[in-house]
Amino acid sequence: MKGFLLTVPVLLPLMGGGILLLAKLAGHRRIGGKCLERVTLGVVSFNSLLVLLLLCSDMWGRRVVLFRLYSNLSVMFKLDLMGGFFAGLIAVLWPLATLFSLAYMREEKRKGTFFAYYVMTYGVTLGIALAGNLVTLYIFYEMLTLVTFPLVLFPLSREAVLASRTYLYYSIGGAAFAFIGIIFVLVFSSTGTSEFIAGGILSTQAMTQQRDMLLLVYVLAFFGFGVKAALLPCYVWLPRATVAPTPVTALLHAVAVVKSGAFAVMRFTYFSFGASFLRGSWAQYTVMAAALLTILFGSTMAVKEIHWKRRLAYSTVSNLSYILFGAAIMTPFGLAAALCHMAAHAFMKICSFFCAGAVMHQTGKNYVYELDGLGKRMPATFGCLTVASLSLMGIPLFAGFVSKWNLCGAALSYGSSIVEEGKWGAFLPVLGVAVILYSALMTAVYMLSVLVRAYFPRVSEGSLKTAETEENDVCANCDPGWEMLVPLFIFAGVILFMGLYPGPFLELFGRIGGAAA
Amino acid sequence: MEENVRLILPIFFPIAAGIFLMAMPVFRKRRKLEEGIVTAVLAVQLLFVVSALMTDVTVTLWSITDSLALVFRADGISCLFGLLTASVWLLSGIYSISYMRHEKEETRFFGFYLIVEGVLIGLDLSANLITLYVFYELMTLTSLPLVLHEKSRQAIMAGLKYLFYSVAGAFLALFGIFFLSGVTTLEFCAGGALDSAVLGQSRALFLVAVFCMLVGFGAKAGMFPLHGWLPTAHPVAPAPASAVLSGVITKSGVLAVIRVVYFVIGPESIRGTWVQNTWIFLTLLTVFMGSMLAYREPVLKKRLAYSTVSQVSYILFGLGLLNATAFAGALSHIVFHSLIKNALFLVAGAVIVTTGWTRTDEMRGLGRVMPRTLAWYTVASLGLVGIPPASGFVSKWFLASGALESGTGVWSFAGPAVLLVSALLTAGYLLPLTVNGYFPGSDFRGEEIEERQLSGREPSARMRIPIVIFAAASLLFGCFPGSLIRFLESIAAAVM
Repeated sequence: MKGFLLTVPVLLPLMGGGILLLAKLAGHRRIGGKCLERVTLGVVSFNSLLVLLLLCSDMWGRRVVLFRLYSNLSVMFKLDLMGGFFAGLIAVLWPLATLFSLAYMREEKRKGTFFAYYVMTYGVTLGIALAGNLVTLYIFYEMLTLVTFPLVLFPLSREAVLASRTYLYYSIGGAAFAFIGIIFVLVFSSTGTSEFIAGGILSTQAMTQQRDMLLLVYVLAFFGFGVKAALLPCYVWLPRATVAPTPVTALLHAVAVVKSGAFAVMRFTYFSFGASFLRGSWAQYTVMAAALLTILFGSTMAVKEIHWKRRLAYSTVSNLSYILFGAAIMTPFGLAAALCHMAAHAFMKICSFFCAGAVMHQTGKNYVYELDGLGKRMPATFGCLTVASLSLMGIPLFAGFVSKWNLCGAALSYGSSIVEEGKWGAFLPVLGVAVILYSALMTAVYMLSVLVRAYFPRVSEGSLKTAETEENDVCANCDPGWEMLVPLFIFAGVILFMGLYPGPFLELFGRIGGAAA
Repeated sequence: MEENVRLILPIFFPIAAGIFLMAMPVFRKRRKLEEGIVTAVLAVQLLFVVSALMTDVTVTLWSITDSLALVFRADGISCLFGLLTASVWLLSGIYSISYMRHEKEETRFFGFYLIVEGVLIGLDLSANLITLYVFYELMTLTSLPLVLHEKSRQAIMAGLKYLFYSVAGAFLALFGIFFLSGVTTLEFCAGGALDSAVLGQSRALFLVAVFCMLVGFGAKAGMFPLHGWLPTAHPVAPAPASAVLSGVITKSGVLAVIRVVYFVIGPESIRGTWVQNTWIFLTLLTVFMGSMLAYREPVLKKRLAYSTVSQVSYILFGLGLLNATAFAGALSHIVFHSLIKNALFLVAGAVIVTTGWTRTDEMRGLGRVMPRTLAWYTVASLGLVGIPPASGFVSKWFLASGALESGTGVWSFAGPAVLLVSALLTAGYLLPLTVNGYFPGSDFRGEEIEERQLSGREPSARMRIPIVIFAAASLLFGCFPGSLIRFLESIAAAVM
C-alpha cells in the first residue's frame, strides 16, 4: 500500500489543476485574484516537497501498478535512479518557475485557465519521470501534448492558434511513430511486459532473428520521441511555440516538454532495446548523425534569428541534440554525460528565458537589436544572463563546461574503442566533438552579441548626448520585482555551483549510466 | 602556507582592485584619486609578481573534478612572461593615465586594465592545461572592453571580431585538450609527459588534435589563417590598449603554444611530421604576408598591427623548429618584440593625442613637432629591423642559426631567407616615418604645424618616460644580451 505514495505527486497536481478549471467553468469569482495565486503556489510547492521527500525516503526500487488496462498493458510507476533524477530536477524547477510566472502573468485576464493547465502539466511530467513501463510513459507522453496545447494557444492571437496547431500535429505524429516502437517491444519482450529494466528487455532470439527489423523500428521510434526533443526534421514546432507566454516557453519548451522527449529516448534506448544491442549498429550511426545535424542546424539558425525568444528556442534545438548525441553514444559514460547536460541545460536555458521574459515584461522589448544599453538599466537580470550565457558557451568554471567536457570525453573514448574494432562509423563520435565545438562557437556568437549590445551600447557619432544625460538615462533601474529575481538568482547560483563543484552530480550520473548500460 | 598566498596574490589582487574601482562611484568624480590608485596598484603588483615568481610551491586552488583542477606554479617560463607582463603593464599604465584624459569613461578602462593583468598573471602561473584554458578564455572576455572602449560602430564591430576569432581559436584548441586528456596528463612538465606508445591507432587523430591546438592558440598570436582580428582591433582601441594587446596579449597565444608543445606533448612527438612542416610553413607565410601588408598600409596603428602579425610569427617559427637555439631565440624575441612594439604603439598614441594624425602621409614633418619622441621611435624601429647592436639582431641571429642547424630540410634555408626579406620590409615600413619626419623635403612648408602651433610639442612626461624606457631597454638588451640569453638557454636545455 505504501507504494501508492508514488502516484500521489502525479495525481495531486492533475486534480489541483482540474479543480481550478472546474471552478473557472462554474464561474467562481474569487478564483481570479490572490486566492488563485496562493492555491497554485501551494499545490506546486507541496507537491515538490512531496517528491523531494520521496527521493529521500526508502522508496527506491518500489513499483506500484495503478490499474491494468488489458492483459499485459498496465499503468505502472517505479522509482529508479534515472526517473528519480528527472523527477527531482522537475521538482526543483517547478515552484521557482511558478513564482516567476505568478508575477509575470499578474496582469493577464484569463490566468485562471493558464495556471490550471500549468499545474496539470506538472503532474503529467512527473508521470513521465516516474513511469515504470513504456506503456505508462506513452500515455503520459500523449497527455503532455494535450495539457500543454492550451498553454501555447493561450494568447489566442492568430499566430498562437497556428503555432499551437503545428505543435499538436507534430507531437501527435511523433507519438504515432513511437507507438510502433512500443508494439514491437511488447511483442518481442522477454518478460512479456514493457517494464523498464536496465540493459533492455528484448529476447535474445528476436535480437538475432529480427535484427534489422528491430533496428529499423528503433530508428523510427527515436525520431518519433525525438519530435518532442526537436530533432531534425521535426523541430519546426519549437521556435513557433515561442508565441506562448514566457513562463511556458521557459519551463515547458526549454525543460519539461523537450526533456521529456529526451528522457523518453533514453528510457527507450537503455531500458527497452538495450544499449549493447544497438552499439555499433547502423541504427546507432543514423540517430547519431541526425543528432549532429540538428546541433549544426540549430546553432546556425540561432545566429540568424533576431527575435530573442526564437533565438533561444533554436539554441534549445541544438542543445537538446547534445543530450540525444550523448544518449546515442550508448556507453555508460555517454548516458552519464547526456544526463549531465540535461541538468545543466535545464538551469542555463530556463535562466536565459526568464531573463528574456523579465526584459519583455519590464520594457516590452522582443528583438535583439532593441536591447542596446539595457545592461545598465537591469543589472541584476543581465548579471544572471551573463552567467547563463557563459555557461551555455562552455566556459570553464560554469556548469556547461562540465557537461561538454564529459560529452566530448565520452565521444572520444567511444570513438577510439570502435576504431580498435574496425567499425566504419568510428569517425562519427570524433566528428561529434568537432560539431559540438562548432556549436559552442555559434553559441558564443548568438549569446554574447546580446550581452555586448546590452553592456556596450553604441555611441552614434552624430548624437549630441553628453556624458551627463547618458548618466541620467542610466539611473532608471527597471529590474523586475523579487518574485522574478529570486528564481533568476537561484538558477544562476546553481549554474555556478554545478560548474565549480560537480563532483556529487557526476557521481550520481555515473551510477545511473553504469547501471543502465 | 605563506608561500601559497604569495603565489596566488598577484592573480587576485589586481582583479579585486579593478572590480573595486568600477564598483565605487566615488572615483568617477575624483580623477586624481583614481589615477593615484591605479598607479599604486600597478607598482605594488610588480612587487607581488616578483615575490610570487620566487616561490617554489605548487598550489591547487580548486579541484572541479579529479581530472579538472586549477593548479598554479612558477617555473622559468612563468618568470619570463610574468615579469614581462607586470613591467609592461606598469609602464603602459603610467602612459595611459595621461592618454585617457582624452577619452571618456576612463574608470571602466582602468578597471578592466587591472583585471586583465590579474588574468594574464594567472595564465603565466598556471601549471596545467585546464588552468591555462580557463585563464585564456577569461583573458578574451575581460580584454574585450579595452578593445571596444570607444563604443563607436567601428569599435564594437572590431570588438566582436576580436571576440569571435579568439573564441573560435580557443574552441579549436579545446578539441586538442579533449583529446589529450584521454591519452596523457595535462600537467606541465619540461619536455612533456606523453608516451607515444599509448597513441596506438589514434596517432593520426593525435596529430590532427595537435594541429588544431597550434592553429587555435595561434589565433591570439595572429598566425595565419586566424590573424584577421589583429589589424581590425588594434587601430580602434586606445593606444595603451593596443600596446598591451600587441605586446603582451598576442604573446599569451605563444605561451599556450609553448606549454602545449614543450610541456605537454613534448617536441619529439611531432618532429618531422606533417604537423611540424605545416606549422613552419604557416608561420613563414604569416611573417611574409604580415610584413607585406604592413608595407602597403598607410594608417600607422594598423601598420604596426600588421607588423605584429609578422613579428609574432617569427617567435612561432622559432618554436616550430623544435631546436634549442631557435627556442632560445624565440623566447628572446618575445621580450624584445614586446618592448619595441609597446614603444612604437605608445609613440603612435602620442602623435594622435598631440596632433590627431593617424595616417603616415600626414606625419611629414613630425620631427618638428616632437623631435625627441621621434628619435626614440627610430631607436625602437632599428631594433625591430634587427640592425646591430639593437636587440632584434640578437633574436634574429639565434632564430636564423637555429634554423640552419635544425635539419628540417628546405625550411632550414627558406626560413632565414624569409626572415631577411621581412627585415628589409620592416625597414621599409618603419623608417620612412623617421626620414619624412626629420627631412620632409624642400616642398614642405609645414603650414599646419605653424597654424596649430604644434612645433616642439613633445608629449607630457607621463607619456614620454614609458616610451623612453621601452626604447632604451630594447637597446640595452641588444648591447648586453648575455645574462638573458643564458637564462633562456637554461630553459631550452630543460625542455629539449
